[in-house]
Amino acid sequence: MPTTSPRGLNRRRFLALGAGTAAAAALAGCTQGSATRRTAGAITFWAAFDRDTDRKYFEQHFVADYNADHDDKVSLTIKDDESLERLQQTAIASGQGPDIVLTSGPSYALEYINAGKLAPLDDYAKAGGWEEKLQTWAYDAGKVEGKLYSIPNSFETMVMFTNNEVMSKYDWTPPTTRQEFEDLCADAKGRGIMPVLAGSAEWKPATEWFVSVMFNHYSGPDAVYSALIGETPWTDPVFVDAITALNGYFQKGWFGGGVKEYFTNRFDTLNTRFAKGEIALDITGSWAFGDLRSFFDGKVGAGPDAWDWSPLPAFRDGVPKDLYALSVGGTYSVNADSKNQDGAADYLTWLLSDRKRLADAVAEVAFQPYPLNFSADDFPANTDERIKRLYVDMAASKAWGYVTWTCWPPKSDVYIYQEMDKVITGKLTPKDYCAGLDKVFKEELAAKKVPPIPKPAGA
Amino acid sequence: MTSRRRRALMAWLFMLPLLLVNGVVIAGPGLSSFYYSFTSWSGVGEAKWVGLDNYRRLLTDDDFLGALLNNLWWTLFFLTVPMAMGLLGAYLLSRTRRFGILFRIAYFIPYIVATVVSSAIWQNILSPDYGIGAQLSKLGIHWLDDVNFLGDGRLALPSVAFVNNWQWWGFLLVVFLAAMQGVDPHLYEAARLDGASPWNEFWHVTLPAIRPTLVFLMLMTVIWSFLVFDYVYILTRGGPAGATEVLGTLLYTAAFGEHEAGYGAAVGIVMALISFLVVCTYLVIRRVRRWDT
Repeated sequence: MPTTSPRGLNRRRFLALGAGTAAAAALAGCTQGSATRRTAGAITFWAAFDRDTDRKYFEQHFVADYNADHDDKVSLTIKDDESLERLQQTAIASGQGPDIVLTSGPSYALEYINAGKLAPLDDYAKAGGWEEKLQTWAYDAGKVEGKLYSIPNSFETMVMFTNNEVMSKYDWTPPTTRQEFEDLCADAKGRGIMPVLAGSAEWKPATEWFVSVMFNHYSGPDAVYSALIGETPWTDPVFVDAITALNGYFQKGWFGGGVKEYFTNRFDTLNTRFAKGEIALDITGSWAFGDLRSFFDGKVGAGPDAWDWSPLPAFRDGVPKDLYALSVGGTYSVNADSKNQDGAADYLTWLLSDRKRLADAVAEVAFQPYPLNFSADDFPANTDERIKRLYVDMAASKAWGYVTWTCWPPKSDVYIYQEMDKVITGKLTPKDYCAGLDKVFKEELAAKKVPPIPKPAGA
Repeated sequence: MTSRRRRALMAWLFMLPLLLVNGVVIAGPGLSSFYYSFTSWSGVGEAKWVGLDNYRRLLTDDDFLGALLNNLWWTLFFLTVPMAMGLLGAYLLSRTRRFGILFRIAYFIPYIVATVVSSAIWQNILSPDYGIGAQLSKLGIHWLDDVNFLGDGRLALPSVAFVNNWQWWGFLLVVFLAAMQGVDPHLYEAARLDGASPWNEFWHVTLPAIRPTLVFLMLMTVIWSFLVFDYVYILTRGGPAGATEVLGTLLYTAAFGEHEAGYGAAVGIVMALISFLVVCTYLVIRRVRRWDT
């Protein structure tokens, strides 16, 4: 799913979004177009990128470097983010498509798995030592009925970014509880500052980010897990109250400045205002690292050292602090109709094989890495300490939650953001919203469309 | 083989390439969509036959009914506002002696601007942060301070329609003008001799004379209105909160967001069916009322 940056883009795709530009002809093996033909010995792979710098970096370090040492060459086809998955779905349905299949997350991969379109990867995983390389929860997220079909292609979570200059100016500290959060928002609103950066003009599903936050940091990961495996209904008060609280924040104008503004707020404008000190908090995903680098350049606001991040507050007693709602931003699988499954799997093994190469990518272009077992030593000296801290903390986290775009089945996921928009516009009550979610989710649960759900830490 | 049969065969041979292309890109996908509309299909893999379930579900789906209402509103809007603007503009231009060609070019230019480009332009113009409202506010004019064209559920659909109309009405104007220029001038002379006012000339001479063009464009407007997708998708993605959801965006979300391609196909078939029924009804009325003659 979306991707690297919330600039109207897919925050679930590792290398996502809309550039759609022609790959440099100089880079052997990179092509632009929609060809599905397979060249003998080629490993076809479709991807989309948010930024040109991301694309170039990937082509150089993840394609050209591989091709230099291997007989089977990776042939990367650049697609527009808007159409990548649609085109890929059509191609795969007709027995074509790329050798390596990229999806928006485990629930999307599940559709292909149920249709028999993805190859089981257990033998490749064993030979390549994938289980040892990946974090347990992420590896397990790719399993269906005991067989491995996908591996995560990015690693992200929801966090709270702050502008240090603003925090210092108003004597604020990053909130750690609901009370602190609400006090800060009220104070910011009173000063004419937007309390929380929020907008969905370019990315309609942005609303689900906040639902994910409230489900995890208000309802709690245990309650969410229980609901995801069908034991607790979504109509439970712990979920209704979470949605009620979120709706209340919107009605107070804390998120995005107001309900109407929320639907037309654009990320570039919001990020500029955040850097200028006109917004107090940015509750978003770790995919925003790249954007913060761009906007905190000192030209229109604070400089590169002025931003920082914190874990989200615990909105209710009993919810773990320092909780990360872990997300697989997307998945890689091998096309069951591929004529070169071995080559495709070898490439996946190679992608997972070098923590340093991934850590370098984090340092250079703020890539979201695969959920490997990173330690601080993996990262080069020039890595932004704030980014390194996140990935090391996440890898060591003892408490994790569940984001909607990773752990909910497709229809429930769409329901979550589409109908939440109706809640904040007064067309639907939180209670009815949760009842509707429960109905849709139960249908998908019965149809076995719920992706694998890792147990909460310590369970 | 008789020469008549040979000629017929030759005609079919000339049409064959086009028929083949149509079969592959229209008839084939159309028929497969019809089939899939009776199935539960995710878009990949096996399709399970479910009979009329998808169509029954449509009748109780609030999102579908809301989108259908929006499409009806859209149709009504485009059958009236741009038609009236195009007719009026064409009629006035037909009487303009100087700079007529410049006006025609000016009105037609939006039509050749790519949808993505005109959407981006209007997104900026309508933005509450730096659009027309914000600029007027800087000048001390606060009429639009609390107006959010694309963010307010009550204004979003009219705003999107306005943007689409900005591109569309100039095209209608040029087509109507071309039709008006084909009207026999003697009819106007006769009307003037009978003391007809400009309005009477327009109503009793111009409109009947361009009726075939008018009827054709109205029919196409109905069809296009039920197929609308691009402006809605680019400007609002069907939001806020479904306020601009139309059948096209609903179909897209069902097929590619919710992985319910079978249900999406049913929405698509209903879209085609509605257009077909409207057109048939119109053709019957036209025949009964002898509009052709």
